[in-house]
Amino acid sequence: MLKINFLILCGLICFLSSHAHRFNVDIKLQPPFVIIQAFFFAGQPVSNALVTVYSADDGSNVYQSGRTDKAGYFVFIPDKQGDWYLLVDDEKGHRRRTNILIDDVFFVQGDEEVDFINDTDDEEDVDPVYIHKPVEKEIPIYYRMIFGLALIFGLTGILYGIKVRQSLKK
Amino acid sequence: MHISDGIISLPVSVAANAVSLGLIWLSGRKTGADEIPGMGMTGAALFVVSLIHFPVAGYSIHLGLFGLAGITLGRRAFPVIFTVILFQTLIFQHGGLLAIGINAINMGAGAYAAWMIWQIKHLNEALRAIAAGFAGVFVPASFMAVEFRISGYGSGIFLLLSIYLIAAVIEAGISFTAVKFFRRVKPEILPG
Repeated sequence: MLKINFLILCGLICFLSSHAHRFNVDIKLQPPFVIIQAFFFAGQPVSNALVTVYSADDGSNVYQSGRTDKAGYFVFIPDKQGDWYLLVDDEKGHRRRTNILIDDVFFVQGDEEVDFINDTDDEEDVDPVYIHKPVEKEIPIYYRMIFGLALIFGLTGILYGIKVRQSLKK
Repeated sequence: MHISDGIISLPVSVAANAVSLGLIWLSGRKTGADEIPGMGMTGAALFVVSLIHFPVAGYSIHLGLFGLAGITLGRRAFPVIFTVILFQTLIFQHGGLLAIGINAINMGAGAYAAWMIWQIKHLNEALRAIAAGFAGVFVPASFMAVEFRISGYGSGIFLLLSIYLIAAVIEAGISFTAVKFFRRVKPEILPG
């Protein structure tokens, strides 16, 4: 029975650790731009964080690097489709690595509707924005809190039981 | 205060995990059955309190209560802190999996410092509580700042310490209030 419980616990740990990240990064694809916003657990933007973008075909080469602005935003223009990844680092011990899938639709839209910052005449022609949906589904914070508390109390109960049993044997 | 993976070098992280396991054995051996419920309750409090975030100077910090854990649990605080950090890493993604050891050492040092301060009997209890609460945050922050400095990482030791100085003051107040409350309601929680 203990072995089964241990295996279940290991399985849960592996499942949860595969979802690992520290602060959140929202990614918006607005061709030809990729807009990211980094924000802390409580929703506060991560300003002045170091962002390093790695190219799709060569993950070891830095494509672009820079810093998020006051509102936690960083923008770059990818030059090819593929699986890009970026590293956001607040330089205070917190890092988040995230992948961005740039598909062919991105470049079709980018070619058709090149947006210029000062181009305010044609206000009706707004670029379509589609939000990058992460593969993992977030587990609500309160569920995770209850799960953690259940683990702590469960572990306490198991240890208490073992200790009481040991003292009874003596 | 939870360091992510990749900041501290791999050999140091592995060594820190080994040291942590040793400290768990040293701090947790001969734990009596009567001590375990208190450890579990403190662990639960530490786990939940990490969800209380507040903004400080464009940054987000959360409570830790390592000082209070040091006061109430003494050397038993380390295994509790390690377990809580492990669950926080796995469930809330606070910090990296490889960095659990170094995080536990940093925060455990805060609890040990608080415990040592609490042992200074000739000082006023309120003063000890405030100092222990303060040390519970500031000692780990100092450890972390030094580690970052050695690793050549981060935006500056003084910026980091100034952020955590505010958190330490807040925790000193919480520690003082909690000790006062325990003394009045259930004094046996407070050793010595």
